[in-house]
Amino acid sequence: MPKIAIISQQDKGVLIDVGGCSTLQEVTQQLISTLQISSEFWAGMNIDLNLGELKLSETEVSQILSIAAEVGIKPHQIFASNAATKEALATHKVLVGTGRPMTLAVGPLATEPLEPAATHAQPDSGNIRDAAGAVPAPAATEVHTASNNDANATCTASGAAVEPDASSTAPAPPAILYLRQTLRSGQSVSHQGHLIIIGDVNPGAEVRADGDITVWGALRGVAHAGLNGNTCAEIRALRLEPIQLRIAHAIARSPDRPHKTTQSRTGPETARVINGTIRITANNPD
Amino acid sequence: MQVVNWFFRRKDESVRSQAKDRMRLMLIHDRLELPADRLSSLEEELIAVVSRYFDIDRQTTRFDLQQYERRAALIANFPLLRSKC
Amino acid sequence: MSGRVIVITSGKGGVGKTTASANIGVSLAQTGVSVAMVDMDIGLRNLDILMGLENRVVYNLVDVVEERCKLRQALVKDKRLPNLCLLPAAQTRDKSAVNAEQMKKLCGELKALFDYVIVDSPAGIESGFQNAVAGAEEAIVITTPEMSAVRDADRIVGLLEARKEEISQYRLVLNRVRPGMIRTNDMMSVEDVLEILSVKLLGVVPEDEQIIVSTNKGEPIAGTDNIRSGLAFRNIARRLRGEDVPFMDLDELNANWFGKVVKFFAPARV
Repeated sequence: MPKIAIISQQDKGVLIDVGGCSTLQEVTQQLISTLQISSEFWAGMNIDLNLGELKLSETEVSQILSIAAEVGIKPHQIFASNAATKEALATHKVLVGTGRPMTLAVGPLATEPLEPAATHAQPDSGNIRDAAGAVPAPAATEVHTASNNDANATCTASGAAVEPDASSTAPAPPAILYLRQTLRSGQSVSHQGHLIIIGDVNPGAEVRADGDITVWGALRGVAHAGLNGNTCAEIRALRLEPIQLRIAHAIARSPDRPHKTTQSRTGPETARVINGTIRITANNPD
Repeated sequence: MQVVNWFFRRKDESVRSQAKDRMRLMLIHDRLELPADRLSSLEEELIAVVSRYFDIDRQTTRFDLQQYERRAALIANFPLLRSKC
Repeated sequence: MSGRVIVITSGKGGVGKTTASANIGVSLAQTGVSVAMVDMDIGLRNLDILMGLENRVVYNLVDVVEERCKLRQALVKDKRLPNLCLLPAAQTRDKSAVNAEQMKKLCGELKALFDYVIVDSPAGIESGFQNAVAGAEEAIVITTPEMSAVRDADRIVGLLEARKEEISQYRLVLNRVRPGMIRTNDMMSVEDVLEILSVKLLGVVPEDEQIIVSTNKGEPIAGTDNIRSGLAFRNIARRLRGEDVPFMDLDELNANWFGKVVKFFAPARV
């Protein structure tokens, strides 16, 4: 779990999960950076907060509430698993969430096996792109399904999920999360739907979505689209310079030694899965 | 002249030995978790105790912290002039 | 197989802990043994960058501990050495994501698979450090000949001594040594630092601009021949394996004529 996660809940607004933080200081830092930078985005939205296992006193709770109040937010309900925190919340007349708050979806991925023999199957030259435009990247075909049933189940339960192998007959369009913020190292956003970031995604930051990921800026961190196995998901950015791209079960990594030619490539590009591997194409006006 | 001084500078005056001495003293204090003024108050008390039995030469009384492996030792030297009866 | 779990730690940040971890890992692997490197700097991971493996990280240590993936899946294989693996830290989490018990279990699993497990500890003496040493049986303390770094190294040695039952031995690596400055008595010498800390020496690594170059390339310097700092790390690996390798004569490394003249007048032992 990252320090702060923004999870959209079907028809119920947004859940901000700070359960990954271990101290009040971290919670306030993360909340301030997330809420204030994109304060217009939050206005008028139903917002729930999950404090996880944090133990907070009455004054600490009021500190958190005042941060939210500064940007015009009053959390609809707050989840907490710590008894002392729950008590503190009750004294502030906040609706304490019942049941389990929504958690981040974790996408199934295949990784390079440890055995030397198997690694040869993925040649080093197979990087995200090469001089010749769209070049296949090493996409792993081995899928570890056993441990991923839970993740898929969560997606389906949310109602916005797309069946992994029936993506061409997609049901109702998933919700869109629109975030006006640059994501810095250590920050992560996950969304069950399409994700639009107005800002950069720096190295060390992670963006994950069930649907497409669009970055109006430079994508330099890790992006995982089609978390629930949707191979039709796309990742596009004004400057597509990621450390790693993942779409559904496919993984592509940046070149180990950047080619001179890649540096001259500018302009928006889109990554999509074609024949099981991730390919990148330029978004030309025609 | 400065260059010559630098060239023939004696080891004892060097930055290196200064650093080493400061370092040694600092670590003895760290390891014993010794507050800065604790040692000087101990020295005063020791002098007071010894002075009850002897006249001592305050000018040449010396206290020295020394290091043996990772342990420290306080070496006190009281030049005794005469005993007090 | 039961491998050796060695934690690399320093107390102070910026003395070259992660650089040393990467180079000791590579040097050990070059001798033919199997090596796993574990980045314990959760939230501030860097070992993957030094190894040039940042684009291959899919799962991390926290994913393993929280059972989102198998240990085998999270290990990233080195580009050049097939017997070298990296278990990366999580970048979007913090130090509290792992506890000492989980770390002991993880190190236990790793040493069943590898000859050497090198754990790169975060700076500081708080929970991150405590977790990093939790599964270790040996420690390497990295310091530079600067007063602040030596002071922090001493604190670490004290903490390691308090864990005598788990940490059977600890040795010192003196990093970024500048023979020229020692010779002109502007810096503490190797002997000075050893005398003050009273610890056993494992290696001396000279200051080297090539380290920065190697970091930028993502290729640890120990993998390159004819570079003095790389040789120093290879010697450390040989000493870890029990070989008796004499310590480098740093004077000979400073081969400018002025250094030789000064040495002629005032031979300095470093």
